[in-house]
Amino acid sequence: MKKIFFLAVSIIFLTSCTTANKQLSYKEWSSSTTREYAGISNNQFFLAVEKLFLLDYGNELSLKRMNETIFAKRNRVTRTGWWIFKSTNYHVDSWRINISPTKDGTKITIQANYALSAGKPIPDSVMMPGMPVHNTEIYDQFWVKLDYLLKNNDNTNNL
Amino acid sequence: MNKTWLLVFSLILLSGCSSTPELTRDEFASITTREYPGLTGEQVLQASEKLFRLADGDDFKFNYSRDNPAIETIYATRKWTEYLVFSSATGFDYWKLTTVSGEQGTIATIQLNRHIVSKIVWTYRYMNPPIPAHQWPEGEGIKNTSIYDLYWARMDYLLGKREDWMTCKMSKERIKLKVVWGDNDFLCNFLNLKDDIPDSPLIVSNLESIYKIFPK
Repeated sequence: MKKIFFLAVSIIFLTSCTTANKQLSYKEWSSSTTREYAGISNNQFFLAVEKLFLLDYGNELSLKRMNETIFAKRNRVTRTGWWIFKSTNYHVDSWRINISPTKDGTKITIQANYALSAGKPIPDSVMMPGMPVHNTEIYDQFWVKLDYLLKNNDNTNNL
Repeated sequence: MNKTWLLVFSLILLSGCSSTPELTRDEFASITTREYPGLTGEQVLQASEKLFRLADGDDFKFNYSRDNPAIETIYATRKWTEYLVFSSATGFDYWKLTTVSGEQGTIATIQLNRHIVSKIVWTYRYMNPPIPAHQWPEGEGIKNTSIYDLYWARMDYLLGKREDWMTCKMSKERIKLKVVWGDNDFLCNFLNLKDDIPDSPLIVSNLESIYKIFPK
């Protein structure tokens, strides 16, 4: 019995060794945040991106469009702690989507940032607070969703 | 006897006054900026990534960001610990290279900050890779000429603009000869840096093909 317990405890401790952060190379990051499309107008992209974020963030979303850039932002507040050890945490998820024309079509680049602040709200004037999100999964999800919405864009306008 | 002591003490105290020269804004801008005509931002960023991985591939943590398709940034953070005989010091080096690329080429700007963490204020936060929330980077901006001289010399080699890789020994000699001044232990430090040497540059320049036809 003791041996099993020891094994279980050591497994719990050792698992943390396998979750070491994978170091992305520039190439990996660059390819996971860039896609090229052909035959799709800028407006179709804007509508699809807008719908994507409305579906994900709902009424927590704030969306800004400037020329060929879309900024999408979500503010969240979480409260942790107990009694006098309380703290309020402010989270901001922010996205920047750039649409630029190329020879054969359109190039789309995305960037996701995450900021966490304990106790002090993050000013809304900062477009992309915090640091870039350091994984490829979040970007992969974005492309899958965007591809789906671009394929099924018949009723993009009536959400 | 008293006078001698006074002299010795005042010498020790006053030696701190012979401080490093101040850089003007123009000098600092020219030290931290390079133009690479004919090269793309991607090439410059990849060279910088390779430079940091050679210096200390295990300890550098990388992050990337893009303002728009033409302006891209690589962040490299290294946590270091120095164990000396009677004390130890811990801190973070923050490197940030921003490239602005166009049809003609690329302009690259480097920023280097060092944040020294007191060993007493050793909290959980500093045992993990740091993610500063608001401002990046923390710590103090580094103003000296030798570290940037070394950095750009290595970048130039990797991008095929220079024939040889500047080793730490060469950099130290340049400090001794007073070509450059300041501390280069951000990349040259036998205590906690690997300092590997590349086999070949990333971009083979025209120079080499010319040397093949017309040997030096």
